[in-house]
Amino acid sequence: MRLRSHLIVLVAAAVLPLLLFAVVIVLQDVGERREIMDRGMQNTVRALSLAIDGEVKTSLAVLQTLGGSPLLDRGELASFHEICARTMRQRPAAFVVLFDPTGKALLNSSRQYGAALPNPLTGTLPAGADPRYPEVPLGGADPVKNVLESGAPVVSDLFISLVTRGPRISLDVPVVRAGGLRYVLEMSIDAGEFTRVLEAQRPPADSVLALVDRRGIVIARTRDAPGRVGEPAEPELAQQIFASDLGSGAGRSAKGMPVYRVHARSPLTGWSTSLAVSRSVALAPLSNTLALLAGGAALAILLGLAAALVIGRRISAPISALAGAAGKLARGEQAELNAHTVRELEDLHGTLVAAGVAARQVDEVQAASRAKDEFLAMLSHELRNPLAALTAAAHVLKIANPASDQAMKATSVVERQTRHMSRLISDLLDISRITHGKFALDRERFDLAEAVTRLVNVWRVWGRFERHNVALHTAAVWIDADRARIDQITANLLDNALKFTPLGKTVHVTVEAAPGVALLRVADEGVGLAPEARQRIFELFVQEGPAAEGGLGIGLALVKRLAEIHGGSAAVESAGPGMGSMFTVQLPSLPAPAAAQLPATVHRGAGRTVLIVEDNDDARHMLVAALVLDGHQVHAAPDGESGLQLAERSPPDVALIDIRLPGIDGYEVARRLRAAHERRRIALIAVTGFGQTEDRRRAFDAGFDAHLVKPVNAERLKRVMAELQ
Amino acid sequence: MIILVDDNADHRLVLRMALELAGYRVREAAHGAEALRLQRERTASFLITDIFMPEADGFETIAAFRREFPQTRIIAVSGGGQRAKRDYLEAATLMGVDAAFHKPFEIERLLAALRLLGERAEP
Repeated sequence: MRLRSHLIVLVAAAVLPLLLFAVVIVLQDVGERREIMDRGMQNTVRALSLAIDGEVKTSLAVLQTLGGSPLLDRGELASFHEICARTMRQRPAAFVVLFDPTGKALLNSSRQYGAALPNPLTGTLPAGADPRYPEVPLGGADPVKNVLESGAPVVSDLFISLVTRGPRISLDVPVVRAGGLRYVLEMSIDAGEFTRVLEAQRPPADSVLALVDRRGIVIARTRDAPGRVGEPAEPELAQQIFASDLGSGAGRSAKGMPVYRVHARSPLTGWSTSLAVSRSVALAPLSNTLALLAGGAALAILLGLAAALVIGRRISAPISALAGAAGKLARGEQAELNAHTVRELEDLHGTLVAAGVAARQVDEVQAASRAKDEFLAMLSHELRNPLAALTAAAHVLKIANPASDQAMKATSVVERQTRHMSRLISDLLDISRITHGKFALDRERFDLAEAVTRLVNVWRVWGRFERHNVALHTAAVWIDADRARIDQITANLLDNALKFTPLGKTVHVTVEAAPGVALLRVADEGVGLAPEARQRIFELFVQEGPAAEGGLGIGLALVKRLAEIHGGSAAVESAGPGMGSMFTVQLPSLPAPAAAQLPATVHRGAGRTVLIVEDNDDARHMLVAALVLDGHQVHAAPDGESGLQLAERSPPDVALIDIRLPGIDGYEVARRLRAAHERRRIALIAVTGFGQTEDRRRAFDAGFDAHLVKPVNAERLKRVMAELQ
Repeated sequence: MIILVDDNADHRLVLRMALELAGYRVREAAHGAEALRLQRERTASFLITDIFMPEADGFETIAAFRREFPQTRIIAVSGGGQRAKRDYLEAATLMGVDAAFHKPFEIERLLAALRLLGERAEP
């Protein structure tokens, strides 16, 4: 489930109980309002009922008063009629009738005395006799009988008057004289009078007041009275009335409108008064409240969901970003994140970044340790292989005829392998010195093109290019650099190119000038490099490509560092694996010197006798070859003792002495030479593998005239020898 | 007849000369595939192979010879290195080579091993 869904559930969990609570409150409120309304309506109805009762009681009081008249004792009916008529003059809608015990109408206040009057007993007809009022009986039934039966005043239901032919009700009271019923006095009241009483109550708008008799026939109502009086009440109201003396209920008006009704039955008359209110009006405040509640709830839910979405995005977006970052860390990539809106996420981010850094550090440490292990394994391999070749060559030289082809081949193997080993070791030492910052450059001005050309030619002579084509393209460009180091750079680049280029393919070596810089390019048609390997390849002990090619992984690292301490740089380009590589070393260049400033061309020191004391056969052979080619008499010895013996036999003009020698060291050899040849001016040149100023100082202290650092460059040797002439 | 496999041309050259001076007939190969080709052309009774770094060409060669020419004696030489935390030579020994030498080694010891394993010199 997504975070947003969780938040929506959270909102729902917060909103729903609140909503339920609100619904309960509203329902309670609705109930209360309904009760209040109910009570109000009941009060109205009771008041109405009391008003009707008052009307009836007043009328009954009038009847009682009239019934007590002494005129009746005396039988003066004409006078009684006159009193009655006068009494009823204020109430035109009512009249008084006097019956004798047989039920015969003796007089009617609304008629002339002596006028013919209908007999209610004989004149009473069943309901439906008047077609206008099908539900109402015609005539006031039998007032005398009713009075006799109850012995008390009687209130009638609605009937159609035989006298007026209109709907009326009647009140009958007995007139008792001397313990016997003498007359029945009746007051007949037009139903319209009650309508007026109802209207006097000023019923609220949209409500109807009605008066219903005991049989459920409408006596009066505030609306549509003419059509409805004499009709049965609405069925719901009838049920309501028959069910209880006081109550309320919902129903429909005769026109079908939903209404709410309250009714009360009068104990005096048995009639019921009812108040009907249109339900829409009655329940309007309730529906308002409910609408408010529903609207509020919907709004709350909408707002909650919107907030959930917005907040969800604000939380989930950084979480997604963190997840992405964590994924990156897992893949070992760098992961950085922006600040977050959520503090916990910020903390998490911090922790994650720290974890990433720690993981990378651990990775780097492990990688470094692995590289070191691999380096040691390779070092062992790289040293053991030439030693194996040397051992086998020594065996051959011991057994074979010294003049044989085999001995010659073994000798060249020894030379090649020792040269290889000495370069390996000097590279190692250089890397170590550069790494520890103990590296001094022996700078001079020279043409890079000339230096590279010379080295390529030397390698060609040595047969290093037997299995490849090496094409050289050069343009003169002057640099201020350590010649030996530049040779080292060139040699390592060539080595690398030859190692990774298939047999028969071409390696292009280019020297060219660009503004302010000299460029040395070595391009091969070899295995090429993957993009991610291009930066790594210059790191120490790192090997790319088929590892079976061997090597220590220091050559290119040395190239880069040597270029850098010259103020230059090293870079590689490759179109990809299998597409070959091009290494470019860039060095700060100098303007080409005028011809006069060129270092004096070294003239061939004609026939000087040179002694070489050098224990490294390879180095010794090289020095011998270089000096013999220059026309010198050369004597060489592998150690100090034999060197001193040679000097006895052929006193030298120049002595090249290696400082580190088996037996007596170079300083001692120099001192003894000086002692043995006091009269002879011998130029002493120290040759060491250490370019430190301390070594130079010690060399000069021991009587040396000059100091050369291995590997000895032939041109420099020539110049030093020329200077010491 | 000995087939000599080593990627270092100089070592191959001097070792070949040493073996020839001892009276053996030697054919040389720069890698295992070439050695197998030579062996299929004409069966040699001995294989002296370098365990190259680190694509284990030497191991493949040894395995191929053991499979195809089980009667050929094998001598492994190595300049060091490890495979699956084991020294190459140890690993080669486990593969059933007849003798193994760490570079550099005395040629006399190699010759002694050859004699012990029954290779006859053909002066």
